[in-house]
Amino acid sequence: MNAKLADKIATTVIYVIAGMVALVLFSMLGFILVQGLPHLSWHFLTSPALSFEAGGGIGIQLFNSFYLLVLAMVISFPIALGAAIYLNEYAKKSVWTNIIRTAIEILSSLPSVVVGLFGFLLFVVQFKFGFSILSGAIALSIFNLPLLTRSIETSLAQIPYLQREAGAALGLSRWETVLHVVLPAAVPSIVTGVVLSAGRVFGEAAALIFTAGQSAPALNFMDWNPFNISSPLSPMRPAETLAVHIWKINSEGIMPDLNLVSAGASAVLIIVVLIFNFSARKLGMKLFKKLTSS
Amino acid sequence: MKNQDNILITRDVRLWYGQKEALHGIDLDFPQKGITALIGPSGSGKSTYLRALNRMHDLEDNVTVTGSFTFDGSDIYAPTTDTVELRKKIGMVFQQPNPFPFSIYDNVVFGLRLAGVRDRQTLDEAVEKSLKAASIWKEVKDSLNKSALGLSGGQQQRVSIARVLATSPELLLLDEPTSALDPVSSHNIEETLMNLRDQYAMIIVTHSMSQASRISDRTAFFLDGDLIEVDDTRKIFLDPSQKKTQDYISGRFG
Repeated sequence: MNAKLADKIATTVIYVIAGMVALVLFSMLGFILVQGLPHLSWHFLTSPALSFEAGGGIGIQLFNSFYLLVLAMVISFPIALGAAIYLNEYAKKSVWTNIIRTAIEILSSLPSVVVGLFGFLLFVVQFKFGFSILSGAIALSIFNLPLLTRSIETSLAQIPYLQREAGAALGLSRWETVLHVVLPAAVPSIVTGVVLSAGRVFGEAAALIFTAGQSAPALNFMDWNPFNISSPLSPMRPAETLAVHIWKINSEGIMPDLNLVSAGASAVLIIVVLIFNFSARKLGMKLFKKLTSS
Repeated sequence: MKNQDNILITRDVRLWYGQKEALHGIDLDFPQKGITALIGPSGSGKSTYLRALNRMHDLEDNVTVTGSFTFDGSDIYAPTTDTVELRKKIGMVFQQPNPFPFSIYDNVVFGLRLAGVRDRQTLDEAVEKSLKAASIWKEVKDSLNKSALGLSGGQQQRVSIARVLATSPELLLLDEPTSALDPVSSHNIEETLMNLRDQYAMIIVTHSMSQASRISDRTAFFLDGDLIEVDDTRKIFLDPSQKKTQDYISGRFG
């Protein structure tokens, strides 16, 4: 067999494999969207779920998902940023930093259901937070932390060492170099990483089942005082999210239109995650342009 | 007369990477103005020596520097020396152009802003003056707000020079500033340096002997971590007193 023919065969095989991956992906997305899209309506997106009758929506679950996402990001981003700056800019190679890196790697490959059970035992039971937004947000942060740290660390590592030298040669301390040279240069790719991880957090179910709970009590959207238990902002109320809702109605739902609700909710979930993913890159590029030519 | 004095006097400079001695006691002085070229084959220690002068080795672990460095009458390696102040007085330009990913304007005023200068007019004047001194004002004066990364390599290098000049250094260290550039850009950088030689003391590390002979007033020849010879450039290239120098400039090794 000559080299040209071998090359052709190899190329074809690679194309076929890549095509199959794309096919699986697109048919899955397509199936979910085709099933779910017809059921979407303003009413479906905004009204509360009904347990025993048809015509319920996903309003509260949708709100819960976004609220938990924001809280989880508020908790995990500063920690991840600090850890990434330490690991990439300050840490010297030592046993200690090796241990940290290994820990992060193990944490990032931990099944999210384990994170959920850990959260249940520690926050829900031990700290008596109950099934609550707070427990859920902390569990999500633990779930998110290792991946976000890694992604920010990679963003920082992409900034050439030359830039740090240039900073130092201009009389910047290490911290000033990080703050004024490295971070601004890394912002676009950090933002991309954050938005991508937001998509992952948004779709997470297992870590939340045992922490944020599986019930979505009625909320009073006129009451924004976080200390009232019926307020949407209350951190101590149980909060079923969209992903948990899908899991729950499929395992024990008894409403007559259960399949439609499940399909519609799945479609919404997929669409939101897709929006996160597509906007991540766009946003990163836009920020980079803005920051580099202001 | 201060002008008669040397701006920088180094004595018995030794430097170790871990246990390995890379500089074996260098004695070298630099006058108030003009260009001194450091030449020598790769690994001869010329860049290592240069980077010791503004304490760039502080960034690395595992590097030990000894010897005396007297800059403007004060000791560079004294524990009380503020490296921030020091590096403002001793500016550095690197082999790879390394503008920050900001606008040309923001690059040039970076050092000044950090020093707390906020007055727009002062900054504007510094930008124009520095870019003019780096011979790039005409090319970029209408695009100061565009990203410095959009410039060619040679232009980026001149912006890097302007960025250093904006902080009004007294001594300029140049670590092979043209070796990553095409001949036309290299020529522009050389012109820039020639225009600055009356105002600044400059030390340039270069691989190109023709560059050293074109632009420098004095030339120092390094070999294997030793300073072999330092003299007027003309003398070094026409009539060196050491056989090793003679061999190197005539291309017999290195």
